[in-house]
Amino acid sequence: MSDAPDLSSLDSQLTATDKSELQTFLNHTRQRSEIQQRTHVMTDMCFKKCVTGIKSASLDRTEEACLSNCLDRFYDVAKLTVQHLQSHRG
Amino acid sequence: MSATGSKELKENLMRQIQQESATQNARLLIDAIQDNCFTKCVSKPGTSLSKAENTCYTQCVDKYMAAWNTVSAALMKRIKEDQGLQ
Repeated sequence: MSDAPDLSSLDSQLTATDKSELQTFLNHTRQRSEIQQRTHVMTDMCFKKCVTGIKSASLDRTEEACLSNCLDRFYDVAKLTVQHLQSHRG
Repeated sequence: MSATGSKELKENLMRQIQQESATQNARLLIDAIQDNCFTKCVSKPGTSLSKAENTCYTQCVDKYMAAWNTVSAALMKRIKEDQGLQ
């Protein structure tokens, strides 16, 4: 999915409406795929931090809370990185 | 060019794109599950997978999928909030 298909070569085979519909579909799919990839990276990282033992097949309340906190704190830290680096330049 | 041919081509391409995207997503999930659950459940690999390792592994798979859903929901919430701020 990394390379965007070149739709220009399909110019002669697609009507203008179908072409723009396809382009919209492609953009949506790409966006969804990016979000899914981000979810994979975050789940991998947060699962390692939050799930310490496997005693059942479902998440307990502590693990569940930890997982969503993990995501939110990662975004806090992302903001903090930029802020802190900017303060060094001042 | 015919309108029918164009429609058919468009639908075929959409199906292919959709399938490729779903396959890639599944592969990433499977790799991550295997990586995490093997680490957690098979700490000292023996000559075969023990019953305990087996149980641990399948429970871990279910847990990982639940975790994926939790993180996904939190991320979607976050994205929506960020969009609201702009």
